[in-house]
Amino acid sequence: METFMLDRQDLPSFLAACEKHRRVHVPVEEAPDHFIFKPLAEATDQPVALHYLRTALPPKKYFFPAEEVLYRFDADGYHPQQPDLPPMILFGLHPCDLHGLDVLDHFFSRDYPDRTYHSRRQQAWLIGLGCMPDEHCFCQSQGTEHVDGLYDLFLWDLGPQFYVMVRTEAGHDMLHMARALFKPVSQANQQAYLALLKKRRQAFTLHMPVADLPQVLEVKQDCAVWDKIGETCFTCGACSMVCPTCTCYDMLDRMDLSGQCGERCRKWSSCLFRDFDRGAGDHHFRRDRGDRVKNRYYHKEHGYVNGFGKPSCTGCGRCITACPAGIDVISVFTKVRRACGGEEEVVS
Amino acid sequence: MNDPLQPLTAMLVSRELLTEDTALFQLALADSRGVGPNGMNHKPGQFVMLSVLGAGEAPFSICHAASDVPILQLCIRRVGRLTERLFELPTGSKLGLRGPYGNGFPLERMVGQELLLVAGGLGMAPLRSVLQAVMAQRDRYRRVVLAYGFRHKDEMLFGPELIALGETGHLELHFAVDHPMADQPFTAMHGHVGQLVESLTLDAAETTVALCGPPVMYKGTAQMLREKGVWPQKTFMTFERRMSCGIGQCGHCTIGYRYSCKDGPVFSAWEARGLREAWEQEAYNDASQ
Repeated sequence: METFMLDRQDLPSFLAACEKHRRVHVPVEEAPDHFIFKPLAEATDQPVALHYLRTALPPKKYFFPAEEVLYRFDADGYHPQQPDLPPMILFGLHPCDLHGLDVLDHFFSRDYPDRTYHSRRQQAWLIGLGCMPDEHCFCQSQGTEHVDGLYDLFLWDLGPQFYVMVRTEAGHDMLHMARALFKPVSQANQQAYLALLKKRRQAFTLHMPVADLPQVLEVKQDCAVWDKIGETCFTCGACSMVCPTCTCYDMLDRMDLSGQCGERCRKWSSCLFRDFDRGAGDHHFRRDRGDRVKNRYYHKEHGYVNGFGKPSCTGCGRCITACPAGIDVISVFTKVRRACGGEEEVVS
Repeated sequence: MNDPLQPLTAMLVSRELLTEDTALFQLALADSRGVGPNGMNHKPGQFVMLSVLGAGEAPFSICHAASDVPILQLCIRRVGRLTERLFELPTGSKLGLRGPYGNGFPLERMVGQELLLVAGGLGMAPLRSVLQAVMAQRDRYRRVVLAYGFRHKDEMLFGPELIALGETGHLELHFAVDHPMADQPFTAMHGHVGQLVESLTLDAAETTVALCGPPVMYKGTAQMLREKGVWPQKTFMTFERRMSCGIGQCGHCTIGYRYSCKDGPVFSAWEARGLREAWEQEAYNDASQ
């Protein structure tokens, strides 16, 4: 892997150079403490938010949008609609979000590759951005603190300069869109980079042991904690909507006014919704809120591990900040774990 | 890239009422691409996704064994918006169709065994595909028993067909009805299908079971079969959910890490131990209402 240094003041020039070739999307502070990924071209008076920690919606919104039209239908059949995402550069992805995309890439590739997901995904080059954790980040626990191979270019913010890692041919191409801005790396730069990693490692305040969670959850399937959490959870699905790896969806057919044709849409859904698990004959497989809450957490840290070999939680902390009931994943699993030790935790 | 979510065009060839609210639909693929469910290329127990213009899409199990005729048979009950529309469509109407999906029943693992098919209500539909496949190669199996429970004689599916098969001596028939009637053209036990199965004498160690019915019947029946000595590895059940995709994406059919649409819908009672909410929870829910 090649490494370079980029002066902080040169970042806008670099992004402007990239914008000449592909649409660049960057994180901006849309409202105080409200960050979103947005086209650079539409953020003319907004600086790139280099200090952001989590955007409201994860980058999955680009590749698996909240709602998309998959087909137009009429009497002749179902006609595939082409997603309209032009070639783009997504700048500023933190390691947790790169891991989130890795989960999505895998999920939408296995068995039956998803046409529109891959069509969009292939249009995107990814530039990662290092970060410093806050009190809601627990990527360190989830093993998603660092990324290898999931990005094209990665920038670590050393203050006056960025330490730039070039991983792929696309990364190399981006570098050459403004080659003159990138300087060689000195030994002092390397030391500063390693010092930053050390400082970051020590900055995590939230920890959750996950290695044995599948085993704990397997044993504790009947834990009363879930019913208690079910009493507080609104099952609003906010945690699923902001989750970088939630992929559940509904299909929806919309007729045009003519009644002769229409469109088939795919919309995000959530396993927390009341009707999500409804089966034939109006059977509900997870009738109680507690069952649905339990299903979501089990899916992330138990089911996905069993099926795919790793948890599908990236530790980004979005579900913690989005939950209107103040339920947070760490305390949920802490309660289950305590219950495992024989002391049933009472949820206040 | 081949797109598994894209429905092909099929035509409604015929609709034959089997009961007051259930009909046998015959469909033919009108799509020249030739890939997709055509009545000739599926395994018993697999399902298709059927789209009705403007009403949406839903999964239906295929109710016949693959044959030489490119006609697909689905046994459908009128229960909701989409099926309501299906019952109104004139023959010749165009429909969207994709599949076949799912794993199907492992017929190869049943060879040389005694077979017990346990159907409850509409569960007869997918089991008819197993029955037809078994009858087509009848000499590969030993005794074949069908235990079929339904509410009353007017709700019986494929009655004449089953009774005719029973008369050939190739199939042993046992019926259970919730509401016996004086004029029913068959003898049936008064009760539910679980009680019927309990009353059967089986060579348990040599028996393979295929089970399909409402979720509420699964737990008790599977447990009772186990107590009779049938191996849970040889008790197969279908877990059908209201899927949106059929290919392991939409999540509506997940049970733990298994996708009912892709890893199932057929699971052995052994595999299903870990999928507790698929059947145990449901039994609990129904009992608690």
